[in-house]
Amino acid sequence: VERTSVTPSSRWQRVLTVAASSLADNEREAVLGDLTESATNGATALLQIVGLTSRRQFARWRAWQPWVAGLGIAVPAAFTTMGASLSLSRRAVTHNGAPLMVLVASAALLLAWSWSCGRALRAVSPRTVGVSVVLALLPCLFCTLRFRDTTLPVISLLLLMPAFLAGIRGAERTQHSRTPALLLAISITIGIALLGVLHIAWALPAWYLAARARDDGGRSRA
Amino acid sequence: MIGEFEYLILAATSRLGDNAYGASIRSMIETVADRRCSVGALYTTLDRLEEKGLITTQFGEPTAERGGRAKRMVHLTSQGIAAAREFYAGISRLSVGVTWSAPA
Repeated sequence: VERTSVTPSSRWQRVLTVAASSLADNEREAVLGDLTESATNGATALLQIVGLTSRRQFARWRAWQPWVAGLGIAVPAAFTTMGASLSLSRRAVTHNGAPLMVLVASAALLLAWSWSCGRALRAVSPRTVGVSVVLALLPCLFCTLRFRDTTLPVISLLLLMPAFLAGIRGAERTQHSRTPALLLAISITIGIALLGVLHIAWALPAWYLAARARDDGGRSRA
Repeated sequence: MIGEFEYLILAATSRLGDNAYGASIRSMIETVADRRCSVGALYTTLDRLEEKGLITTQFGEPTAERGGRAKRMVHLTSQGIAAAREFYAGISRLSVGVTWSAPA
């Protein structure tokens, strides 16, 4: 089989590399190498890569994990984030008899809880975090634009959603050492019980992280 | 039992021997079998064949002709050879006496 080798322009190489970024490292190298070797032009190569990544995405969504991460964690957490943000910001503005310490503790609890949700989401379905992030941001952006309530973006979009995203985008490892994971879960549970800013069920993501924590210090498994 | 596209990949892999990898298999299917073979179809089918134990794959060393990128080398297993042989035998038996004349 005769083949010629043509290197696509550096601009196309960059586009193709970005398009193939969701593939595993080895597979990305092999696919880009195949397309280079077969002298496939830039646009056709892009279509080929999009075709492969689409097939990979569809295959992932045949499992239950992406659905739990997207519809079971990301979307409910986004709505809960907005509700808690609204409640907290109103209490902060009106004070409503709440001591400053309670407001600060509530904010800290919500930050830790947002981070634990993001982390749990990544642990459940690490390959579909992009879709989960979009699912988490959409309700927040929709409500902000629809109701034009400026208290939502201030806390939800600027504070809690970044914490949520930091949990997702943080260190590559999806398992943590047992002691910090247990301390986080216990702190969030006690915080929710005492402060009442969230339903107690929202301690579950932190307990999920604690349950799958390792004794050996949480070495990378990604 | 394997499908037609899976058979094409197994046959191309067998013909290419130690030179069987993504681009060469794809090129052979398109030029010899005159069938379209997208990268997506090829790589997802390679995964499926590997899960079935009909092939093994490994990533080779980077080469200059591929822009310094590695190849995914493909090797047939004994189960893969048996499955391809069975598929071919079935098609051959079924084709005996078939004239492919157009209906009147």
